[in-house]
Amino acid sequence: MVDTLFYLFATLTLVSALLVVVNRKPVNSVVAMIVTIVGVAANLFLLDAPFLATLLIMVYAGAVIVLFLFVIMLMDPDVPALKRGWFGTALLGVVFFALCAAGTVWLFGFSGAVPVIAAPTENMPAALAYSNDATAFGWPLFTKYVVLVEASALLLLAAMVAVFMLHSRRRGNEESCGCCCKK
Amino acid sequence: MTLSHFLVLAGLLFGIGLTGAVVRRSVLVVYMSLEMMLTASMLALVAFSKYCNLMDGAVFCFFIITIAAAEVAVGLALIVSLFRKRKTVDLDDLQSLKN
Repeated sequence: MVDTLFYLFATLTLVSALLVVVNRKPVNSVVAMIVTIVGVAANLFLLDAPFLATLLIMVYAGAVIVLFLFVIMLMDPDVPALKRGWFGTALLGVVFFALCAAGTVWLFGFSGAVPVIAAPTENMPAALAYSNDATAFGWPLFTKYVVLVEASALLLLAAMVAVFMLHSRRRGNEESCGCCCKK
Repeated sequence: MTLSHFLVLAGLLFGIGLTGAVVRRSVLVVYMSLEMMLTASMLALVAFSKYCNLMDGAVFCFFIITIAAAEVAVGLALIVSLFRKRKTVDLDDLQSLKN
């Protein structure tokens, strides 16, 4: 049963990920990306991480992808016509992906470098062992990785200030920088 | 299912994202491919975390989500201001550094 679910969700994820890359309209890519994220979240459910799966759906499919949709709606970019040499680019992409896929499947599937059996569950402190409830995240997050939590708070603050500065400029400044950007 | 199933899935997803980031010419699709690579790395981290029976990989996913959110906010703001100035999102048209 679980195997069937895994193969179902893996197929869903990979097919919709291919659709993201292959589609020519950006809106179709965004919708396929939502399906990809839901597939990855389903795989996280299979890995006993329901909290992370919920977080992934809420943050990625709920905020990030909707932000993409807003930006596409704001810009409304026209779908470009197929340029000369698109077939060579597509062929290059197929060859590149085939090399990546062959390396991945050999390394993780058949080379024997990945251990088959899971690590033993005893002689592990209970606070550090893998668990599927949300309270298990709090202990490492605020003891072992507290510096990283502070750093990511600083990163979010810096991103917020940067976006604010980027968009709070007056319109008139755009004409005055003609030295650097050629029309 | 073993660890290698999830690792192969994450690696294939990462490969699709890498191909999209290299091959596609639209800035928005390149950004979505970057997001896809981050998601694939999250899947691999949780799989390692589950099979090593340690919480650390799952905790690291928080930081990946944080970095992805910050990156998308700044990147989409840059794309919007680029589109206002140059009226295009095609990477082939953005070659003013080339000559």
